[in-house]
Parts: sequence; structure tokens; C-alpha cells
Amino acid sequence: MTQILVPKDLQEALELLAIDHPPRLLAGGTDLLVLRKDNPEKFASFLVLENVRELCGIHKENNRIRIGSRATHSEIEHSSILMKYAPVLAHAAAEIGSVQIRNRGTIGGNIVNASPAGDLIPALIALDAVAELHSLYRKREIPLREFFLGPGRTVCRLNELLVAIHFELPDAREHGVFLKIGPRKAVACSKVNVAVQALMHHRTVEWIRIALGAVAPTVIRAPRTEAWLQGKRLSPELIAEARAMVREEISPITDIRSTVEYRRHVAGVLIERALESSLSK
Amino acid sequence: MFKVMKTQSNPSLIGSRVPRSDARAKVCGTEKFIADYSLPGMLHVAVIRSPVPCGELRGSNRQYLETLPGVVATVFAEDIPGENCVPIVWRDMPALATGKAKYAGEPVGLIGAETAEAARRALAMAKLDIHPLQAVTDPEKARDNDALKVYGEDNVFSHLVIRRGNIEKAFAEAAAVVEGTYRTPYQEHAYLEPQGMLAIPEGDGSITVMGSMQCPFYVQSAVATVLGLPLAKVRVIQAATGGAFGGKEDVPSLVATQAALIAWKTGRPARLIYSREEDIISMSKRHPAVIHYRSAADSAGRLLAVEADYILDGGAYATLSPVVLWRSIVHSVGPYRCPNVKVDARAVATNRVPCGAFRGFGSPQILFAVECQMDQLAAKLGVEPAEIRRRNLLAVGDATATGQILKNSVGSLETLEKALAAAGVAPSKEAGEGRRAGRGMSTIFYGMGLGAGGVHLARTGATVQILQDGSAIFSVGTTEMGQGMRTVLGQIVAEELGIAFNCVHMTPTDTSRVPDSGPTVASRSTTMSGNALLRACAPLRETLLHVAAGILEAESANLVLTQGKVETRGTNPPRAVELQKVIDECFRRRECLASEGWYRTEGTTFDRATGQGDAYVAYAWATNIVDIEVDTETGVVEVMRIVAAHDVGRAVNLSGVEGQIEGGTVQGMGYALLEEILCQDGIIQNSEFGLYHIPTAEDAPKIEPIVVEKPFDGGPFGAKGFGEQPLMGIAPAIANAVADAIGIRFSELPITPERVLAALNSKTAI
Repeated sequence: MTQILVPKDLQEALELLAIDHPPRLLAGGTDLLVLRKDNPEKFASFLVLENVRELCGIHKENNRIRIGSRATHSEIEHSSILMKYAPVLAHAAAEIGSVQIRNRGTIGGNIVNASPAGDLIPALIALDAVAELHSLYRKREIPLREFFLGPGRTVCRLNELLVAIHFELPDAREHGVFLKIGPRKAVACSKVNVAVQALMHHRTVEWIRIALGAVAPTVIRAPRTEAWLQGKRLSPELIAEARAMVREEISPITDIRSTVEYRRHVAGVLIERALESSLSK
Repeated sequence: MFKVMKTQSNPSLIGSRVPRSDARAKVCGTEKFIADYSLPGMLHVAVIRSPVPCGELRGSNRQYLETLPGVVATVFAEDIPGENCVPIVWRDMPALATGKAKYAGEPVGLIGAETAEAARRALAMAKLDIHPLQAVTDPEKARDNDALKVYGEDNVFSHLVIRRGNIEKAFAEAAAVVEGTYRTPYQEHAYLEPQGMLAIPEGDGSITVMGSMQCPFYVQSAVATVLGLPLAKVRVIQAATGGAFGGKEDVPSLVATQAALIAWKTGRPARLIYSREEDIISMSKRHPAVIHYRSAADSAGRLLAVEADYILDGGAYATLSPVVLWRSIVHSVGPYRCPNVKVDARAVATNRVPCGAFRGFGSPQILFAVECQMDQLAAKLGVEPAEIRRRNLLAVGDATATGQILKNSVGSLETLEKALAAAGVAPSKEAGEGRRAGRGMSTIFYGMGLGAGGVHLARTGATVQILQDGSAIFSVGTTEMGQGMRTVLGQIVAEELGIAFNCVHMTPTDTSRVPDSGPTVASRSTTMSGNALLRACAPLRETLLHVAAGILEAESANLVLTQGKVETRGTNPPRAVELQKVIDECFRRRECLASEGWYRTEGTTFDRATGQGDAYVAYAWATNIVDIEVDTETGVVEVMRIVAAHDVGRAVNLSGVEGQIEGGTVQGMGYALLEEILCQDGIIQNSEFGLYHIPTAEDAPKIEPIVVEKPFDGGPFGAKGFGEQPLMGIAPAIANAVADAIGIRFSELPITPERVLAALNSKTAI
């Protein structure tokens, strides 16, 4: 028998989670129900988040943007706030799965599923986003770059709920790019994905954040390349050097989706293209 | 040799764009597939499978399984009441493995339970005592002397040859010789609906089986064999079938035995719906191939000789491999004149999943080699790819590689010229920074129908009945699987009887309605069932015209039957009577308005010693021109545009023909660029669509279908079968385009970005 709990609000949801073997959280179900198909015994109890309104919405709050964890990829893709202030995230959402998947799947699910190839994660890390975790007894905020421990593993505890993600309102002069390479044009898991968020001044990099997916056990930043680019004037030569540097900073593997050589090479190409696109702005 | 069946000067429905008669039900979701059928007391079946590619079976925990809640019965090999055999071409495949399991995923036991959940839970508890043995998992090593024997003395199911002319002399005298080794992978059918069957034991000692299938008469034979029943007591009805592409030719027989064995043992209806993963690991695939190919041409660019030596990986049991191999050798020189040919083709046995039918049936593999070779010969001789094909294409009066003199309906050159004209000038090779453009082509042919390789099955039956209200029902022995047969045959019946298309209805294909009509394969439904229907309609037309002649006081020879009425010809003004009035009169006179038709092909021959003979009654022809762009930094090959010209004899339904061209073309693109079953030590690693990728609509390029019509006098209204052909030549055209763009020839499929990039970096072919 499958137990389905449908809390009416956040407080009730947190209460239902505050037990020894808490139920699995179910939002869009696009990952969880696939896992359950082969192994229903392991997923005997679900906490359905459908009525928890505290998890909804994409809001601009003074100097930050806050996205409820139940916002769907479609909502993010079409959000006028995100299109204006954080297009890198809207573009990443548009690259996920199919229309049906985007209509169901949520940002919270994409984060806690903790796939190294999850498409929203590099964009969020490039925006320096912070996860808001609530349990019945406490709230904590974790920068997303410290959130992931490995494939499928995060710092989020079983009785915690990811309520929202927020990040500082990007400056209008900032520029963000998301790029991905998958096996086909749509409905595909990334072989490599990258997100770059930068503030440029007359082609000079004031600061830059580079995040890459599917090239390490978790989505990673490229701090050495970022630091090296800072304060430099972008040129084709500089971009070529950044490309080589990024390839050194990642640790991809060969698996069923691609090879280590391909991932390393293409990560560099995508960074190059992201920087070139900054150059053309 | 072939009688003209029926050619009207200006038929109204033939060649039109009648919408598919099954489209609405499928789009609206009202069509009933086998998973939509449920019966009181119905059991659910789960299949216990071998986890290893080769293992000695020593026992199971079946007694324990039978004690589990909801489990009603288990069936293992020793419980089979009839013969433990699923007859396909040969009788080497058991329904349930006994003694030894020969591939990972091979069925060993069955569980019947009250609910699907109980069946699944019991399956999770099932344990086989199986002792793993060394396995043959590399087809290229199957013929090694020290290889373990999966089949016979040498792991060769079948060895077929062509011996024509003298290749040694031709190679010695040639101006250009090109040689290559080509490797093509498995391809998964990826039909929308997985395999499924429902078996219903009837109270009278017979059994009815319904399900997703191409070939009800194969299923009937398999169920009768395992249950030890006469064919007469096995009735098979095809449920709506959600795609097949050859993947529901032979293997549904195996699935049906699984449902039938549980039903027979328990006396209760039993249904089995495969999961996608189970379907991918255990059902048939396109045969992987390794092809050594050598071609020679003279200085004028004429093909002098071909030598080919290749293997197809048949998997653990022969299933359809002998006939797949046969089709492949008939196509092994392509659509070209070639006086000297030596081909040795073998289907080898391995401890891998049995391979079977897939759109093209052995020809896409060999045509990949043929068409890559033609481009390389052209390059060596300094002629254009189109020109070398123009100089060698078969025409009426020429002999094929099997020595068949072509008598009519040869549209090869016309497809080439029309495709070239439509394609126009090739785009510039420089396609922006980091992008290179290329154009490639292929010219191919397709032997329609079963040909000499399956001549014993080359017959079909049909029945047609006009009802009192002027509507008509018809039955055939071939099946609708999404290819559009039901619409095309409905058009033919409506056209012949003058009845409106939407008043003509096809009954579900059912072994109790028409005699064994062979399989629905080899692009044969339009021609074979179409011809049988024309024969069934002929006496009905005669009756209608005879009765109308009485009403109109005219000679029936001077009457024409058109949509909705019978008219006099040659009188001024014409006199006419409504068809309904004629039908009313027929019923008043108690005339028989039901009839049967039977059609068989004649005249195919084949000599196994030399590989010479009239292999097929006719051939379809095609030219593909493909424009691609290669991203030289990521290795991604993007197909921009495909012009595909096909000689189909006569397009009965233009939209259907174009739909086949578009669908087959995209499936061929997947074969060329994307699709790859990863099999490690005999175990399939990517048994889900998250890891086995087929092209999406977004990946589809601009496709421009061109229909060429060189009527075939043995086909209804001149039609030829061609549904497989659109896939067959896409992979070589893409490989040729990639070679054109970046100067690197890929002789292994799929041409993945990883392979392209590795080749670009080392600047050598892979």
C-alpha cells in the first residue's frame, strides 16, 4: 500500500516530516515516479506538496529574487521577472526535457535530485543562489555551491524541506549565458552544461562566475579560471586561455552518456562560446 | 508474367489524400490497445528471465513463488503441454529455456498472478539456480575455431553466396579499386506501444489470443505448437497495434506463448504487457553487421566487380536471420549493373538477444557499405557522386546482381534526376565559424514483397461484403500497425465498388476471417491485400453491373460504376441509376453481395549455389540527397535538409506515401547519428529511452518528399510496396555528406559527436 499525505500548508508539511522515517517529498514527480516504477516498495509513503502554497511563486523582493521550490520549469522559462533579471535561469529551464516535463517538474525537485547534469543547477550557482531549508524546529540557508555532496546527495536532511531559492537581484549590466550539449536537440540529459554570469565593463571582466555540470560528481564552479579572468580585458586570445584553463579545472568521467575526452573538450568549447557571447554584448 | 489487375483511367480515390481512417481514434485516445482490454478473472503474467548471457539451468524457487500472495501458477519448460518451440523460420527457439539459457533476458519461467502488482512482487522474489558459462558475446569472434558453440559446428546459422562472372579478372583489369570495412550497430524499433498479449481459454477447448502484432498467423502457429492444439482451435485477433517496424513480426509469437501457457494452465484469461526495459533487453533488434567490401570500376566509371564478405549477428537463435540474410545479399550490390560479383554472407550465432526484422530487413547494413563505396569510387575516378550513379544505375533490360532481367517499373534514374533538380546547388562548405557544410547522396532499391526467399508465404486472402444500406465491410489477413494499410485498402474497396470511403470499414484482422495470408512484412500489404481485395470485389462489381443493366435496360459491358452511381457509357445523354437503388434491387433478388479473393505471386526463383535468380517480382527505387552541417568544435552533425525521391509505382494515398518518407527518413537519421544499443559482455546497458535516444521532432530536418510513379503491372493500380525504403539509404547519404564536409570518412555507425571529434582531432577515419 502506498501512503499519500497531502498537507494543507507548510506548517503541517514540516510536522509530517518530523518523524524518524519521514515520507518522500513529491512535487512534480518527474524523477521520483520514474524511480518508483521499478521499486515501489522503497517508495511506500509520499508527502504531496500540491497544496503547500508557501512553496509557490517567483517574486522580486527589494534587492533579491526569491523562487518558491514548487515553481515549475515552465513558470521559470516564461517568468517576466527572470527573463528581465536572470535570463540565464530562464534559458536553462527552457532546455529541460519536453513541454510535459517542464509543466510538471519543479526547481526544488531539480535541486534536491542532485544530478550532476541537472540543467537549472549551473544557472543557479552562477547566480550565487541560496537554498532555504526549513524543518519543524529550525530554518537554515545554504549557498547552493555548498549544497551538493555527490550524485544524488545533498546537505538537505530527510526532515527538511527546500522551501525556496533566492539570489541577489542581478545588476542590469550583468550578463548571463546558459549552454548545453545533449545527445539530441530536445528531451535529453546534458553531456555537458555550463552557465556563466558576469559583469563586464568596456569588455573588461569586473567579476565572473562560471558553473559547469556533468563534468564532476556535482555541479562545480571554476574558481581558478574566474579569478584569472577578473579584471582582464576579453580578447580571443584570453578566451582561448580560459578555455584551456577550464578544461584543467574539471574532472569528467566516461559513462554511458559520453566520454571523458569529449566532456573535457566540449566544456572548454561551451565556456569559449559563453565568453564570446559576453564579448558581443 | 503478371496480369494487369486493375487500372482505371481516372480513378477518383486512388492517388488522393484521403485522411487516415484510424487517425481520429488514435489522436482522441479512443482506440483500444491490448493494455486497454481487461476481463473478469484475468491473471497478470510476469516473465522470469536469465540474468546471464549463457548459463546452465539447474532449478528455481518455483514452489516458494507459488506460495506468495496472489500467485496462482508458475510455468516452466517441463510444464509445456505441446512442443517447447516457437517456430519462426526454423524450429530452434524454445518458448522457455531448458537446460541452458543462451542470452541475457531469455525467458525461463512464467508467473501468473491475480494482479499486476502481485506478479511483479513475485518476480522480484524469483530465483534461478543458474550456473554461468562462458559466452560468445563478440560476433566478430563467433567463427573463431576456439569459440564456444552457440549453434552447430561453426556458429553459422546460414551462409549465402552470390557467384557471378569472374571477379579476379575484373579486379586485375580495373582502373579503380576501393576497399573498406563497415560496421553497423543494433537498432531498437522503439515502437510507441510495448509488446502485449491477452490469452483467453474458451469453454469449448479452444483459445483466443489478442494482442499487438504484425503477423497473426505466426502467432497462431506458435500458440498451437506450445499448447499442442490443432491450428483450428487457436484464434488470433490483432488488437490496435502501436507501431512495429518489424519488431512485431516474429517476437509476438514468443510473447503470445507466455500469455497462453499461463491461461492454459489456469483456465483463466491471462494478460502480459511488457515494460519498456523488458522489451528492449529481450525483443528483436536490427542485426549488427561487419562488412568487408571491395569494389572495382573501369576508367569510364562503370562498376566492374564487387566482392563482399560479411556477417550479421543473429543472436542466440536463428529466428528470422536466414531470411534477413537473404534479403541483404539480393541488395548487396545496390541498384547497379555489375557483371562480376562474389558475395559471402553469414548470419552468426552469439549469446546475445536474437535479432530479427527491422524496416529494410538486412538491406540498410549492406546498402551503407555499397553507397559509401560508390562515393569513394567516384572520388578516385574524379567524377561526381551523381555521375557515377547515373552511369551504373539499373534500367529496363539490365540484369541485377542476382541475374534478374528487369522488365518494367524501373524508376531509378528518374528518382536521381528529380532529386538532383529539387536539391539544386549545394550550399557553400563554409557554414560560419566552426561549421562545415556538406552534401551526400545515396541511390538505392528495394525488392518488394517476400520474393523467392519467402515464396511459400507469398499469398493473401480477403473478403468483401456489401451491406443493405450501401456500406461495405472487408477483411484481410495483413495488419494495420500504423503504416496506413487500413486507409489504402479502404480506398481500393471504395474505388472498386463505387462506395463512399467513409462507408467502408475494415474488420480487425482475425485468423478466423480469412485464410493464412502470410505475414505483414516486406512492404507487402498494399500490393498483396490490395490485389486480393480487387479479386474479391470483381464478382461484386459484376453483380452490381448486371443488376444495374436490368434497371437501365442497357448492356452491362456499357456501364461504369463510379462513386455512388452506375452510368451508361456511350449514350447521349448518359443514363444513370443510384448505386443504392442497385443494391436495394440486389437484396430484393437475394443476390450474394459477399465475396472472397485470393492472390499469390508467381515467377520468383533463386539458386542457392550461385545466388542467381528472379529474386523479387518488382523493385522500388529511391535517391536521397542530404545536406548537413558539422560543428567542428563539438562534433555535432546537424542534418539540415533531405530530398528523398521514391519510385512507388503508384501512390494510392499521397499523404500516406509522404508520411512514410518523412518517418523512415528520420528513423534512418537516428540509425546514422544517434542510436546505439550498448551491450557489455552480452548484457544491454541502455534499456530505457533516457539512454537510448531516437530523434525528436525538433531534430527532424526539412524533408522534401518526391513521388515518382513508374507503374508496376502486378500491383493494384500500379502500386509497389515501398514502406521500408525511406529508412534504407539515409545512413550512407549522411556518411557521404560528412565526408564531403570535413574530409573524413566514417565507416562505422552511429556517427556520434564523440567519434567525429576524436576523428577531427586525429584527422583520421574511424
